[in-house]
Amino acid sequence: MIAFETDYRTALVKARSEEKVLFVDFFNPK
Amino acid sequence: MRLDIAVEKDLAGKLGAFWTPTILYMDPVGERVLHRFTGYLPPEEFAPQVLVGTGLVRHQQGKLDAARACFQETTRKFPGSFFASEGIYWDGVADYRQTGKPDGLQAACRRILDEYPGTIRARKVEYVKREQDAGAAGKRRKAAGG
Repeated sequence: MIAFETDYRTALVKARSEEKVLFVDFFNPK
Repeated sequence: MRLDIAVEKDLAGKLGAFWTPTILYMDPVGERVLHRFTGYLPPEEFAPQVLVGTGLVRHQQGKLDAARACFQETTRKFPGSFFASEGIYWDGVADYRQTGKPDGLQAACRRILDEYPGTIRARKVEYVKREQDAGAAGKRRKAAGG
């Protein structure tokens, strides 16, 4: 699992290289 | 990965995330959503929800032993959670897929009715059981010439 990246593309590159499931949390800071 | 839904509006739209929080499990290339859930939960429910979700993703990937470990851990660590019954059910399903025999799944369903009545999973199990019983009764009537 990849956690706490805030850039989708960076996380995607890491997930691809490590063949991990990408765990995406869409949040609303307000 | 945490993404501000207002900043990543296009991506959220593409992935069907229309409310927060939306949690997605995606494949490593970021093309396919494998599992999702939406809405806040207290921590004691969030953790088992993530465990069951991880198990369902592993199940989809054909990693049945890993999936079952997640489902069993859910029930063992969070027996009072709403997701405990989900862990029992999906462990039964994985057992059925591994063995080709319904015994494990049937035992799981009995356990849900006994230990987790009133859950949404118990309602589903009750419905299927009722339909199966009605079907079996219809077959018996037909066989008896009724």
